[in-house]
Amino acid sequence: MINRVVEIVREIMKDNDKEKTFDICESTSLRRDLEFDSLDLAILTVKIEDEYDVDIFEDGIIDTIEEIIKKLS
Amino acid sequence: MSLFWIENSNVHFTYEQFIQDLNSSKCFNRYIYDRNPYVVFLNFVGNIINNYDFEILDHDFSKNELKNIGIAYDDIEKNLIVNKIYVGDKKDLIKRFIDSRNSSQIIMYTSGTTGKPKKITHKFKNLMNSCKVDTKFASDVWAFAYNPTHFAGVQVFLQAFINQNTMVYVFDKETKDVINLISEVQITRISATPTFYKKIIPSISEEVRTVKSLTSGGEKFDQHLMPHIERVFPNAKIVNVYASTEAGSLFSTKDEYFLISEKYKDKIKVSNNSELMIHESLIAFSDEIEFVDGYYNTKDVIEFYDESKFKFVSRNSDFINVGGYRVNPLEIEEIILQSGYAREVLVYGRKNSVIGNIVVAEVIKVDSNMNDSEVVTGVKLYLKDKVQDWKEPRMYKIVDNIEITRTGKKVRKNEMDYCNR
Repeated sequence: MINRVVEIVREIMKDNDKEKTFDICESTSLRRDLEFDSLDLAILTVKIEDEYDVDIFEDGIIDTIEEIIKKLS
Repeated sequence: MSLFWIENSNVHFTYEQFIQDLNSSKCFNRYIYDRNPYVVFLNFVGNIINNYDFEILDHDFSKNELKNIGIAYDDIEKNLIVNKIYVGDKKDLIKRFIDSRNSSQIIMYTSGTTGKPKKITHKFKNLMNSCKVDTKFASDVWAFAYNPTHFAGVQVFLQAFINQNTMVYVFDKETKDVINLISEVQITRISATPTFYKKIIPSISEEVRTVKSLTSGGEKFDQHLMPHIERVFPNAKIVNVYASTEAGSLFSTKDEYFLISEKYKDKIKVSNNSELMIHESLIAFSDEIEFVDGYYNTKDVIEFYDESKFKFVSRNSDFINVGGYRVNPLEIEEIILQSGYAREVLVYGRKNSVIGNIVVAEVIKVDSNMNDSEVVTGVKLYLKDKVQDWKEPRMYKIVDNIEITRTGKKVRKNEMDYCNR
């Protein structure tokens, strides 16, 4: 699952010309490390929702890859 | 020396500098159309103290968008008005500013139900009605988190300016810069959209005890956000406001139920569709606002708790609320259809827990042999300089058909959402 989530994250970065040779791991912060803004987070939510049927921001705030994985498991 | 405007850690202006810049200005712009908020407010105050009427325009309006509201791009720079006032000191500046309240009219634009932004004329004195001067506000330091050319930004500016407060520009800034500024400058008041709070709060690890007051507006307040706000800003009083460019600030609440004060009890009613109706006496002047029996239909669907309290249920229109901004899908569809890549297009909002909605475009290719990604890239590039960034679709779907109603209209998929503009 983590590989797919990372892949989605990278797709968003690529679409926004924010692609970095950054090693994304469980502790990576979307906002701090990848500089995701609200729109990026919104797109991430929708893409993950499409694949896993879970709104990761539904009842709170998510910031790391690990938190996304927890929400999906 | 007292700080007036902090642009970032390195750029700031004192009230003394502001007065010097006012006095050295030979003219002010009748159409305020500038990327730099300091210049916007310099022209704003210059116009007010000279008793001129003026218009405030989004700096990122394209030539086409300006044309749609009847303003020729080339005329903007030519429309200058002469500065006749010399300001002495800060006290003199604020006195002249407040004393001018019966003179100027300020024109702002908002999205309209027809797709064309509505031209709304506010009397300066009405905008000042909700502002209070008090010594208890004297040491306030504001996080300026709204677009300076929009109604909410103007309201924050007026409240801060007449109390000679410092304003720290955080609108559109990177989260890390916002957080640095909040602690560096010891901000005491924040007025922003829920989207703004959602953006910054996860990155704040320590309590921010300097903030005493926190206002939320522009979109539905997400009750899930409350514990997070209380954790980060333990000393802040939290207020959620209902305001619009047409009506100004009308209601506020500490929870999701807005209290109708005594003075507004006879001025609001509810339509047959449960939409909030506001009496014309509370609405700013506009040729483009329609009244039904003396009432303006906000299209906001509300639900009463009791006779003095109500909450918003949804917004009854096709407009898409993206982080507090309203996107007109028809406007975007029209432009995409001109791109040469789309035979038909449907733009709608998809509900999103981060920013309210994201804009989605379903596109039928003009030529079925075209590559999907070529079409999407082409449409994105075409839109780039024609609409403001937040209006652009963030998701594209290449489809074969777009559903239509029995009357031949496209089926709008917007998930209804509360919006208080």
